Amino acid sequence: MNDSVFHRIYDSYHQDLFQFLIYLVQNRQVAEDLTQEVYIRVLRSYDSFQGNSSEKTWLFSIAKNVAIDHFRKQNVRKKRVFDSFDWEAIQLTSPDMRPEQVVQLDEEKSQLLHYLNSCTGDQKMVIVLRYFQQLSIQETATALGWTESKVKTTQHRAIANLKRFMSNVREGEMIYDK
Amino acid sequence: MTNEKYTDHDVEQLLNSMPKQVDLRAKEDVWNAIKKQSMAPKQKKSKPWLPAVITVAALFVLVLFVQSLLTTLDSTNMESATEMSLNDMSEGSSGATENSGETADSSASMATEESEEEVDAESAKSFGMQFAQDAHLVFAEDPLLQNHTAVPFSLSYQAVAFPVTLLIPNERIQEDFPDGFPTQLELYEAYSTEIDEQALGFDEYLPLQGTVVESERGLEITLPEDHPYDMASATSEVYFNTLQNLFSKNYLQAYLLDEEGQPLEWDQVGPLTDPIELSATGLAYSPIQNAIGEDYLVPYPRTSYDSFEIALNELQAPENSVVEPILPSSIAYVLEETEDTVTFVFDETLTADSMPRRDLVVMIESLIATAASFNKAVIFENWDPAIYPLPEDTRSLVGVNKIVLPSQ
Repeated sequence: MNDSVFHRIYDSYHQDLFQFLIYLVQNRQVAEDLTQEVYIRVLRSYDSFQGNSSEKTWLFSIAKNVAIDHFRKQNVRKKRVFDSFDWEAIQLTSPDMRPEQVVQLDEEKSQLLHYLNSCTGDQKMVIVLRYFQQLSIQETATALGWTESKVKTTQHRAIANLKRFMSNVREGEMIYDK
Repeated sequence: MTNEKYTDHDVEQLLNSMPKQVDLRAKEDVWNAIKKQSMAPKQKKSKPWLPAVITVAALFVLVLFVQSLLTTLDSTNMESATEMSLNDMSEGSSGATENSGETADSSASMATEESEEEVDAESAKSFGMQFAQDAHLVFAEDPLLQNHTAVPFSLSYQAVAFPVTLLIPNERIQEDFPDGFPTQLELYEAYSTEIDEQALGFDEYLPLQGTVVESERGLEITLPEDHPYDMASATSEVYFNTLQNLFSKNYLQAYLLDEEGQPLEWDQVGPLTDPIELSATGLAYSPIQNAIGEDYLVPYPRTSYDSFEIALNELQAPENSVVEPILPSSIAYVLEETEDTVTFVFDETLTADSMPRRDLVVMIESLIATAASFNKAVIFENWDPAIYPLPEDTRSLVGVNKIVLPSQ
């Protein structure tokens, strides 16, 4: 294990990686384990990093794979492949921890985080990279291995979904108030 | 704002204002955890049960493969420096085939009465039986192909498409298709409903939705409007990989159409005006276990690598945790590559004791399948050939992940 590479990557990107993973899995312990897994893969393949993308997007692409592997493993007992569709569409979340345990959030943000889990896995990753990590469209596309247009489309659909969910909640609150 | 519906701007503003999440651990703690995690052994899945069909098939394969072992080794014993062990294997195999009622005249003639050789024969028989149990590959020399037809097929587990090779008894095909030998498409349509996917340890995925017809330009696949295959990137991936597994050996391209005969609108991609390329080369095959803990060789990820050497790097250090590295760091070798071959010269003689049996077979078969994907034959030097009966040219590989269908 190359500790000098670790120290440099840790100093530059550690909190970004951690934030990406914790918002995806919404479980601190799991995020810690997955962050470590990212480092293991990074250190193992660092020599083969060609520099075709930025180091940061390369790290996020590995973190994305680690997260997908995690959710794939979580679905071990799924009986039908259409459950795996749900994995991508709905279950990209760790059900054992509620959002408010991740961080103290006001109600609105708490709801947003909740409904983020109702987005597809692809949409959730785009939201986390674009808004929480502040990556550009191009950086997000590189990290996810997609085209820029796919990133834009997915982002657009995710925002539309969140807008719909949040508006429904607000509508419900207004009816309740009346 | 509270009396209005959310706008895009509201949602984006809310997303941008989400708090930063911080890992509170000290850097040293993280580093120590990484070192500990990287040294932890991977958990193996248990094998709770084996479906009866597999057990029956395995016994059948066992008998015939021991005979295959015999034939292969007989044909190479004049060329190899390991003549003794090859003869031992032949002798051992003859016993197995006699017990099963199969004929083995040529091998029986090789038998001697010396007790030392009998011990060696027992040992070789044991290797042969282990090989038969562990084998995933179908070569052109496989004696089963004398009365079976190898049909490329696909099974699915956890959104991964597993390529498999169905060995269907010829007599069964003749009964099912009395008017002549069927096409690959007809074979798929006839037998996809007969595979008990769950019993084999896979998800229920076949038969695929929609209709498939052959045309001059390739396959034309018409999908219903509510098909589930473009729901997410994972569903798309498993669908396209399944098409490749099923049809790449017989068809070059597939056209996906809607019920109006127009290019299918694929979610987040748009209309699929270009055909799906079915052929796939330059793949790296790694072992993945299914629901019942059986190893299957799967090109995961489904990436076409530019060279065998790059694919080999992926096999040694996969960038995902779904597959394990197939070559342990303890096995040192020199790789020599030509246009047609890849030769592994092991630093220390590779024997049956060099690594666990399952790992040994997986390593050898993974290298063979990966090399075959580059149209290269594998040659091993400084190894004990008794551990795996390589065909003369491993490019005779017909398919991976053999599943034998019963006669009826």
